[in-house]
Amino acid sequence: MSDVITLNNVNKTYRRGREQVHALDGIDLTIQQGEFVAVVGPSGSGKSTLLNIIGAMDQPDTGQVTIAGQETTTLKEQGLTRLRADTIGFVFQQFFLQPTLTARENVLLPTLFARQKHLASRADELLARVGLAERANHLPDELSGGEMQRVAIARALINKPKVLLADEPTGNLDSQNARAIFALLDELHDDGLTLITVTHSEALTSRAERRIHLLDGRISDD
Amino acid sequence: MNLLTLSIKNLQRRKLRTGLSMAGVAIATAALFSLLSFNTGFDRALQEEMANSGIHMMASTEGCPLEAASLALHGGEIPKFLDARRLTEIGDIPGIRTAAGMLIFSLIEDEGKAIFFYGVGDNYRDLKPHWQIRGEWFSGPNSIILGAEAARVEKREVGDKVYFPDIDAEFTVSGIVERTGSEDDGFFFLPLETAQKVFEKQGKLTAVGISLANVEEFEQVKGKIETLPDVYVVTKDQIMQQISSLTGSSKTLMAAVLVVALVVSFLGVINTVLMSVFEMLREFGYMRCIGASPSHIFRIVLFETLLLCLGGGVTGVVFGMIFASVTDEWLHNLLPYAPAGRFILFDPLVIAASVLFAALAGGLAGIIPGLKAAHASPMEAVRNV
Repeated sequence: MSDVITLNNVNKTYRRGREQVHALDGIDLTIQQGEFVAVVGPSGSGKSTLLNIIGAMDQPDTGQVTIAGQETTTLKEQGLTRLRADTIGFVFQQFFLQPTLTARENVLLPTLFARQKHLASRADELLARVGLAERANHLPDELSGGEMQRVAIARALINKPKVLLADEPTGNLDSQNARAIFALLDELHDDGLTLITVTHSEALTSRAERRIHLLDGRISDD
Repeated sequence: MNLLTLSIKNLQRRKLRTGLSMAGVAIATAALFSLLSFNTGFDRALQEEMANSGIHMMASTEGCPLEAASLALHGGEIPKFLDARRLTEIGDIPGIRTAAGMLIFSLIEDEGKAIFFYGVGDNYRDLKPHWQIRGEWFSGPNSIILGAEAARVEKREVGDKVYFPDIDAEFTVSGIVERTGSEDDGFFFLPLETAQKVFEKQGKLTAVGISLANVEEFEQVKGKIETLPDVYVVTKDQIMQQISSLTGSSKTLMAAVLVVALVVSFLGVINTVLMSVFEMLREFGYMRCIGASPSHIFRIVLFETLLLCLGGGVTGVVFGMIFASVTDEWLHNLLPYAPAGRFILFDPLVIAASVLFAALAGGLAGIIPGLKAAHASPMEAVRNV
């Protein structure tokens, strides 16, 4: 399997008043295509910062980050935007569905920004895959939390990303809906998609084939 | 689905706020449309009125000849008079086709409304070749010709008698001038000698309306008339200028009010869209996460503002057109000298300019909110709160 994400000696420091916080402190990490990785650790350990840097939303102070062959530290804003559009799918705890768009339109949203033709049939396929074919024309407020997260997953997949980043994907769901999302993520992993999730959920962590434990901005266990 | 669809759906999300902002733009655009229409319509109506008057220049006595001429055209009593002998002397000057004497008086009726009497000679008809008279010209010293509006208000027809208690005089309607769209519609025309007698101004005239046989001789004729004692000449252009300058302050005031309305509306739109942007900052940030560039986000907000202003602009013009007659009447009452005829006509250029202005304002109003939205941070958007 090829390396899809590589971090070499990545450091990121924030200022909090007079105090300097080392969010990431010399991180070296390689994730291969098709891996299912769970990033765990206590609050403030650097999980979200790591996810932001892997998701090309933030840049490290020092070190190198390579995603799908592109070194992000050399990319400007336009390049980072394109990388996010073409290579990475995002799923978040809050779903971030557009309230005025139907489930199908929400799934199609990233195609507006990705110089692709509108993939209406692919959107329908993805909605069918997440079990929401019948709900394609429903607005988000007509869907349950679990359904909204499944729409968000379908949306994350519309541009055929190489990597799916999931930040607490079941954080807002009850156990039944959470199980449905776990099953879906398992399916995507079986199809060869690289999955990286930041979670506090033991149930989700136990499904990952690799667990990275962060503590004080360093990898304490891999 | 495209970026425009997103903008439309964003506007639909806050219907009341969108509606109120659009109403603000509509009011400002309706005011702009009315003022632009008025500016072009006023000049056009004035030119039409001057053309219909058939007069190239007017002669009156010393004092304020320009005002005298304006009043002679629009109705109004002038306390200074010209010696009626000047009429013959002017008429004898070569190059003059018609020199028609006029004596103008007004009466205030019980309701406080002024009615204007024009004492005119037979050759006054030569200055009004477009007049269509129902009935006939003066049939005797006690006959009267009514303008169409005057006949309607007085409820008189040809052959009817009309009595004016203030001057204790009764006249028989010999003719009614069909509607001309000018001030003539509201006037009461008497034979010149009758008017001089009734108003006790024998041998006096308010002004002499002059039309030339050849307008190329304008300057020579004017020079010759001005050699006559106590006679001052004002030209058609001077009268128009005078009327325009008299209405200038009203126009300036209206323009100032309009500027305030436009600025308030412009700021209102910025405020509305900016509020919407602040509310949607996380959504924009998330869009940045999934591949939207700052330019995409900027365009979504810009389209939103443009739609808001275009919608308001079109609505404003439609309402401006619907209420054109009301505005017209208001302007006619407001202005010191308003030519007859409609000011607000449906000029495609004015309609296009009003809508274009609204769109342009929308484009400008969208810049600040658009830039704010375009710089939404994807990291801030996805931070767990």
